[in-house]
Amino acid sequence: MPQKTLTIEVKGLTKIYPGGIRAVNGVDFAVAEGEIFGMLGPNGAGKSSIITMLTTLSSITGGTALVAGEDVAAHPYRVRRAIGYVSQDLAVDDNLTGWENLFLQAKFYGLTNEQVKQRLNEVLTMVNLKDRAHDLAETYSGGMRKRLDIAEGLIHRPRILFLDEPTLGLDIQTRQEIWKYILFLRKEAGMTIFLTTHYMEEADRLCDRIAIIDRGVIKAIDTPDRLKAEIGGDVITMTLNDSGRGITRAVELIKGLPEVRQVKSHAEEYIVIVENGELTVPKIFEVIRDTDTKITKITVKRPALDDVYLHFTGRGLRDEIEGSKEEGFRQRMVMRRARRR
Amino acid sequence: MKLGSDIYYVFWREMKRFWLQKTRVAMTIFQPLIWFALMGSTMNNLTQGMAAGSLMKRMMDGGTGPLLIKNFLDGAPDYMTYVAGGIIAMTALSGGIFGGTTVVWDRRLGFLNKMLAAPINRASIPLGKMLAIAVQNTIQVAVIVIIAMIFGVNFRTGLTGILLILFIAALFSMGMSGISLALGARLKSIEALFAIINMLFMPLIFSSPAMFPASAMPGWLLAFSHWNPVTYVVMPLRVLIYKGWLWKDILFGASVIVGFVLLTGALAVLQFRQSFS
Repeated sequence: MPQKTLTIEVKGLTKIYPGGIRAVNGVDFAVAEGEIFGMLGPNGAGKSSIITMLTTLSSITGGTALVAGEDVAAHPYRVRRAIGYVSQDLAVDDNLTGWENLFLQAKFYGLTNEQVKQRLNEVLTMVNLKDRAHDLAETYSGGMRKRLDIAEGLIHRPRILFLDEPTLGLDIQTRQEIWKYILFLRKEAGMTIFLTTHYMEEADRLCDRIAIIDRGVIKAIDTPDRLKAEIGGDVITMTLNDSGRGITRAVELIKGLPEVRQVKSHAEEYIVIVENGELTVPKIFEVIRDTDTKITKITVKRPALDDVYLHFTGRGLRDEIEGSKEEGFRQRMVMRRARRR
Repeated sequence: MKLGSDIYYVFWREMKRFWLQKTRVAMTIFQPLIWFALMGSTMNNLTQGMAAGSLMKRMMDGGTGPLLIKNFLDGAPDYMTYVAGGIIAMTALSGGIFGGTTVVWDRRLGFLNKMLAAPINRASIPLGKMLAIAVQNTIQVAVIVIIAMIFGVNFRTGLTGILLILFIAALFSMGMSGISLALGARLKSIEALFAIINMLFMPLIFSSPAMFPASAMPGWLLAFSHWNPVTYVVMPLRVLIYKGWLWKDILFGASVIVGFVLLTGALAVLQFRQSFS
């Protein structure tokens, strides 16, 4: 990657909120031109704090961030000109038509009337909203609003597009449709895309590289494939049933098998990393046959990003940390707006 | 400079939203109508009764010279004419003081962040919203003037006077919206903002001569009314409605309001700069 031009360079980035909450704790990363870079983590991991700092919406407590070659803290105005930002809020104005929403955004970026005409046509075609452009945004479905919101982020042809939780609250068909658009944008416009998500599938499908973030710290950065390879084998997940003492012994016996690399317990389940899942399952049954322990449930799969996440953070992505009250309120509101048809 | 264009497009958005909110536009007509019909008629009878009683007492006491209603009402021929200026000031006050709610909603819906992530001048957000409130208020006040005429209020300074009334009221609503927008930028919840608005609204009205003449106020309230901006809106409005072209009074009131607008506008801009640096 070093031979490519970097469009985002972050060093020691830190965010401490009033009251001393350390949301981001000295993170380093760089994003290359044309890359789709994803930040994966649960609510409260620090993703939103990073994206609001990079888009100049909140101040940087420590460290430096260069976006499109400009220092975010020193020249926020120049950064704003170079980036597009699509928040997780579905922030289209319901009282304006799609066309008016885009027009307003274009004017905020100082586009001339000539440019407005041409670009509006261009982006409306791209997000397939041309027929509905003159209807009020409140009549749009969740997916249409999201597409309008993304179109607004594209109107000034930014070098970097920031997408904060681009498919939060959308149903699966709409989500796939949005993914299609994101990939299309990169292909057609060569745009650099920085996104945050807490959906594994989304990170896996879209991103060239993923940063796994937990409690304000980046735990790993790599391509999805290499992150999965990091685990180094198949993943067997099982639930054990026993009167008590026997489980420890059963786990010891499983650990003793030559194929087994690692055994971890998480919630009610035991996760066993092995070289070859299909061949190892019968051996596991065999080795614990003489103990009182029974296997009540067992699954074998190739490692997915969920397992990667658990591997790097010691926690499942679904053990979500509770956000603030205001954050929760906003998120519910977004869900409601997204689902409305 | 891009500031002018940014202000215009913030204003443009607010106006688009205004026309769509049909209930809001309807309420701007309905509310003053209620005030004139209920408050105005009742008080008209009450003040006339009071004046008649007083006159009778004076005649029996052997006093000389006629005592007219206008002595009670700061020179107004009837309560309806007296209160017209107060209702206009109250409309401007309520139009302005609720102006900050749009910031809280924009923040909650994420639209504020969208504006802040765009390369626009921060000052354009409060200034564009203030301008929109002034224009919306002008429309409301124009409707009230027509309603007042229907209820028999005679505007002594004619069309020129009415235009000046619209202008002064618009300036005042703009000034109040500056305070409200600064509060909206600072407070994050709509509930807190509404609580403060409610706490401000009634005292501002009743510590001014908007509804009742200053001569009826107890001393401490009168002293307080000198610090209340509503007093300085009501004064020139009344002069224009029924006293005539008393330039000194009009200019004095108007310049206090201009100063008020400059002050609260600066407050709103500074608070936006601080809250969203």
